Amino acid sequence: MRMRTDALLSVALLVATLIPVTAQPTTPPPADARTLLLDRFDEDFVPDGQRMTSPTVIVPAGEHTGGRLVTGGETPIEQSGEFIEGRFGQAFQFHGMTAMYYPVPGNIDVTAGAVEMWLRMGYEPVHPSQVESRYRNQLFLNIDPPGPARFIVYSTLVQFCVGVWDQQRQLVAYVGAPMPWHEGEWHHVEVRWGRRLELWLDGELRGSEDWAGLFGPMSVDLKQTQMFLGSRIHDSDIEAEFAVDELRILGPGGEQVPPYPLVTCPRIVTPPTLDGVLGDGEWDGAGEATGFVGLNDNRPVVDQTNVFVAHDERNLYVAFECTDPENRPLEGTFTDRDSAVYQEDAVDIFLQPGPDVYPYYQLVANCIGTRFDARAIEQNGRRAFDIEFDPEWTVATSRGEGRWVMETAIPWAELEGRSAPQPGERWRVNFCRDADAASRLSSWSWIAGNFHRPSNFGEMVFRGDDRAMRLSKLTGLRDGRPHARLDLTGLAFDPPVTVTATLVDAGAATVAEAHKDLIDAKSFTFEPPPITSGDYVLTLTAATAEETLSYQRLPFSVDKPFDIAVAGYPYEGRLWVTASIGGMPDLPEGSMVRARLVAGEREAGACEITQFDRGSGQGAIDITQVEPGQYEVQASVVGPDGEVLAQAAAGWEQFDRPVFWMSDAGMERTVPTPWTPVEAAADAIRVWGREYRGDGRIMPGQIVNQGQDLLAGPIELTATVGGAAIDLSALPAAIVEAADDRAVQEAALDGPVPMTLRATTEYDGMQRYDLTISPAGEATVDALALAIPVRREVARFILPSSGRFSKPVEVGDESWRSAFMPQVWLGNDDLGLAWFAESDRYWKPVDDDAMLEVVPEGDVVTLRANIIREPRTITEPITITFGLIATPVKQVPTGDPWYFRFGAVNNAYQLYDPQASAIYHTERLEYPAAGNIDPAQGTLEFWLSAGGMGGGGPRPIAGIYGDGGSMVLNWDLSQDRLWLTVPGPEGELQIGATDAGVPMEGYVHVAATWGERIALYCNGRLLDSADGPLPAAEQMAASPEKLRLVLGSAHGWRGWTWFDVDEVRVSGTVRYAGDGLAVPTEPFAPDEATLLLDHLDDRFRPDGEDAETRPEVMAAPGDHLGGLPSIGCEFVDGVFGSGLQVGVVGARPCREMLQEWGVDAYNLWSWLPKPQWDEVGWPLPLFTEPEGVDLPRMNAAFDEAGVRTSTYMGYMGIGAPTRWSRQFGYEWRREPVSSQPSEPPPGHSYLDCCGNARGYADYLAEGTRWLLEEQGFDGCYTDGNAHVYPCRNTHHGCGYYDDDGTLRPTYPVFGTREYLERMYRIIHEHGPDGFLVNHVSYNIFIPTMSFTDVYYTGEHEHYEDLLKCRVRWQGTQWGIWPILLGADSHTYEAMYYTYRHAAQDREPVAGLRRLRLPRGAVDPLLPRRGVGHRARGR
Amino acid sequence: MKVSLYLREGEGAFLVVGNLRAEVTECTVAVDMAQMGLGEDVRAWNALSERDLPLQDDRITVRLRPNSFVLARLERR
Repeated sequence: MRMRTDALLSVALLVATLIPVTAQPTTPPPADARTLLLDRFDEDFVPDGQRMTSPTVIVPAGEHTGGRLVTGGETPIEQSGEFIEGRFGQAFQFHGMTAMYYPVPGNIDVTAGAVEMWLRMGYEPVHPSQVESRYRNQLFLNIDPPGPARFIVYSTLVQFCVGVWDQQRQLVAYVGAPMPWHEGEWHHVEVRWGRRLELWLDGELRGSEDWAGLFGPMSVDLKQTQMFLGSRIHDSDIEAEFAVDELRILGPGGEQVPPYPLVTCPRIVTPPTLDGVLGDGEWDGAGEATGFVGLNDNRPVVDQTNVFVAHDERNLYVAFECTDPENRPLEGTFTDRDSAVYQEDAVDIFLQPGPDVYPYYQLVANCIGTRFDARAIEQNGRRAFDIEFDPEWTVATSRGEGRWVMETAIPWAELEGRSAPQPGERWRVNFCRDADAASRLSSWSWIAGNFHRPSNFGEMVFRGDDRAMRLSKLTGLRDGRPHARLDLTGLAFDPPVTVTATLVDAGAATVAEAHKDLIDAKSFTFEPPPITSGDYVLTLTAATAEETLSYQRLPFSVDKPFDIAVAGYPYEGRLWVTASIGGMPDLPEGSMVRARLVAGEREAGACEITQFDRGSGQGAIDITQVEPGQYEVQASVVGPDGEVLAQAAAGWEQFDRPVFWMSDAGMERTVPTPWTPVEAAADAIRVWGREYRGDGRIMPGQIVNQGQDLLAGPIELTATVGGAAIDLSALPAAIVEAADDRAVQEAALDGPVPMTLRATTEYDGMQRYDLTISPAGEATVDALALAIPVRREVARFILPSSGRFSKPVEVGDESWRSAFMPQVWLGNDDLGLAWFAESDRYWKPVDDDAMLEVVPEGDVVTLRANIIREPRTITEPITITFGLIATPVKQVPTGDPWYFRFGAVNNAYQLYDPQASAIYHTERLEYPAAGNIDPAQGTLEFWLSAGGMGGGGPRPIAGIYGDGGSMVLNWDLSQDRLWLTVPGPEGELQIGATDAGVPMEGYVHVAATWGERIALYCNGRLLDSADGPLPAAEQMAASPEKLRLVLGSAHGWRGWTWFDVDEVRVSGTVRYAGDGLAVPTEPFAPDEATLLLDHLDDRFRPDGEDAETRPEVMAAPGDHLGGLPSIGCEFVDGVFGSGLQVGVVGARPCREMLQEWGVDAYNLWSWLPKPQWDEVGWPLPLFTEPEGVDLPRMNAAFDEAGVRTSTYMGYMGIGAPTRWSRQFGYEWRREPVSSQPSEPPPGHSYLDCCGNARGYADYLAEGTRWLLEEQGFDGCYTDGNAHVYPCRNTHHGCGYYDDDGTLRPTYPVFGTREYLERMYRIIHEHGPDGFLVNHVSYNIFIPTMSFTDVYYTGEHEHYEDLLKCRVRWQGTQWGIWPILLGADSHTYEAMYYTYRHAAQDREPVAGLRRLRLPRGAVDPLLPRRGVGHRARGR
Repeated sequence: MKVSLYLREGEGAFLVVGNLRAEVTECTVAVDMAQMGLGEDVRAWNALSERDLPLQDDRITVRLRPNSFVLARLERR
């Protein structure tokens, strides 16, 4: 393979862009196989109420053969419209109260499909308020099932919309986008449905939403459904004034697929053992699916089935685990191939490899392993079965208590000579379960009638790697307590997989949802609150940005009339009771739910719930004065006459107030190091390294950063009111507060719409702007926009952040546009400027990609936040908040690889004990053995020397180790004894002699042979022998992967292994048979019997990991290039050329080594010892006292060694169940809920929390103080806590309701920032060595990361993206010192360090040496730097 | 395979050759020494093991284990 570096270097210059490509179609749509309806409107006629259009493709309904015009109101039919020149050929122009109806059955598929058409407005859509009301909306396509439900494609003149209304006429799905269209322009519109609802305008995706089919969970009878273009004659006065051309409706296909399930089939290396038993770990790497539904009844069955799928080059592997909670006797009697096994307890595999339905294969096995197989083919236009199709597929089954198992391997070649599928190949498949009663038949993908319905098969996607999802648990659906678990298989985390669970009711209202980015962990659980009677749909999706790995949509029913859920919010002081009465639809008016909080006979509080929305209502009980203890909430549904109609109860515990309750830890108004106090002057606000220069303006006219001007012109914040534009940024500023930690300026605008702009600048350079608009009565703001012009040489890169992910983009000539994101940074390799905001509250419109823009023009790159683009009417004061922060935020030597020199430490808990914490190394030269040695017979020989090293006891020199046996050559210098030890059934054989003749100086030839006898020779003389083969030779040969060939100590450190070795040779034959041999006089030469020959003549520096010898012969190299010498070995003069001294690095106290190498920082991953950690679960609950370890003493020992310590103290969540989760879980958690299993202890999981929850902030701040003051640490390590996750938990201040009443997320920038600042302040004011490590992979979010001394990053990320290295991993632009954690491969880490440090203007190799340090233990090859670390002191 | 190069013009260069494959792979990297100002007399060695790497006609050939790498140092003699 050849590569030219100049080509490779150009990779770094690749420009990424997020700008969507506009691709308006240029040809009329074809009538292809997916087309259900195509009306080109090319055959014209005069509307008369009788004649219809002549669609190219349509399924007529009787005499209804095309588009039929109907008018209403005052519109006569002859004025309903006319045919005009269209986009292609002719089009139809609508006028007045007119609609064009099409037949529905066969012409649209509500499960998946698309509709596209060309539209032209019949008038200039000027300001909506100036358009006649009859034109104010335009209704393009209407699909009306019976009842109030609707699907409408329409326009509000400024916005193009797609809406779905449910049977209560509630809007349940919506996508929309601005449509700046003008009269006479043709525009292409396409709406797609399937697993999502998507709106495409002019070839560009403009909006999408999770939604199933056209109508979601609603049942639609197409025979009773109407579909029409134009006016809703009977329930609206909107007149149609538009033209339509080329109307086409597509059925399922492409990305528009019905919501059938999807499973990923990974490629595996080790095939499962086909014995009918799901062995431990055997199927762990497989894709897994469950959630079988009944034949004809699309609901989960009781007898659930789990299916496992995997493949390799030869086979498809499938396993079924068929549960039967009733433990019925299994029916399995047929034993003949192709007998009717499907009438018994059996499982079916349906495989449809191609895009065409035929052929597909049906493979059935009953519970005793009898096979039935058939090939379905098309014959004379009908399906036929080829029963002669008898592939050789292997089946094994087993029965157990309440379950039976089938395992199979299906060779690809047996499926009509196929090869293994290519990565990305998709097959339609289904997995079904037979039984002796039709009522017990079930399948993975729902099917009605019989299993032979390929259109209803699910889908299996093949991968070329080990990545798949496992839906392993799906329980509690019928009981109204759903519980689902998904796990990601494989090594990689990147690209990140997001798992989403959505539970909706029959009215399409979302009952619960959760999502999780699988970044650090690979499991996800979904456990919503209890639900009551009704129909529901649970959708589980696991997908990356590019592809879906798992999808399951499961309708189910719950029969439980009334239930309650209780949730305590201690800081809020309320216990919220959610009552579900959805299962009692006929409750008399005036009914309510009464809830009482009781402890025994004592009532501690009560509430009444009288308002219900879709069967659910909430009430709150004041718990601020409730004494700690166990309580029960007893709830009753009470009719208007006082009759109790139903009852339910739930337990709750009031806990003591914890030590961190309402803590003010870290909230002092001080300026922590290394920042300096804020300097507020009339002309500028100055902080470390930066100057926000306003010269009297409220917003900067210039930002001077590290002496450089950032801006190309003044920042402008422009509001347009009543047609007048006002530059708010230029309002005169008054300093209203000037303190060390912040300066506050204010500016005011009087007039009909008074506004104030308040600017708060904090010592780290963060500027917060609060714009408050306070209308007197009602006012309209027509526009509000922020423009930040940045100098081109500064704005080389854009780093937008979703709060959790940020992908850098290089600024080119094109504009970058985006929907709302909480951060957009513009900068270069050295500095930059970030804009940020917590939410798009009050922005209008939202969700399109014109909210944020970066526009390059000449020497200026302008960042625009287009806050209000459509007039917003304001009736009460509103505050719009955003912020700026110029970076770097502080001074750190980001180019210094030794600024923080973390080291791994052996037995850190006992660092103070030199013995307990001593560091040891292995002492060996090890070769790959499988294929390089034959346990049945052979010869191992080499030249041996004591190398002048005496002392020590007996030591192993060489050994062959395998499953059940070994042969080890030992040497005792004091007795000059050489002997072989061979364990056997009657004890250990010892074959050898004293006075072997090994000199202290010089080499002797040593050989061991095995075959019919075992013999040992030294210097040509037979020392000893024993008849018989190696006792365990057969067993050793049967497991070649367990064979080892080691020169030196096979079992770790001994402390005195010293010898020199040369010319190592392993042969597959017994070379020496007599009482002696002729001592070789020259290097060995390869021959046919040689399996391994290593002259050891290639000198290098062993590093214990990557540096291997280069044998002349190595019969089976496997993944290796040669033998691997451990650290401590070195090349010496040999008998011929070089030899290798197998040596040892002496055990040394860890503390001494830390000092020697200049390690000056250490992070303790668990401040609780392992047994205790397992008991409490991860992340460790703060304030749990460690048992059996003395952390203050440990930390003092580190202190003496000059090493600063931190500990892993914060994950962006808490363990559950724990004391803290039970008390604060609801109040702290992020919503949608995000949790993942994390055992031990059994049942333990993470519960992700939100930085805006004040109690959680207090917990972390006070916990920081506890770790420092009580346990002696210098600092803390947090894991993901500087990310800003979207959250909708209103109980702690997140989320907001938009104009439509929809709860939308906010990004808790300021809450997260505040608690990190508190931690930082506590740490830095505790002592001069304090440091806060924030682990932030996949992201840089600078307003929160500002309070970070060291950021760990890059974990699980792909490392090929040099732009990412440059923008996110250098640290220079951010003022924070980076450490790259390394991806899942050592290789990437090396790349990083070379990039990160070798690229600096310094000695490259010094940077490289860092490679070894974080990887554990110690490396004697590192430069002896002496105690070069910083002076410390407390 | 992935190769990156870091150059101190006229003095030396640093090559990271990574094998991202699942099998042992031999890779030849062609480097234009003259363009990098290193001239004709260049020494190449493994920076970790300090083992000389074969350099012929401005080409370095290395054999790499799966998911392994070599850190190659180039320096004008």
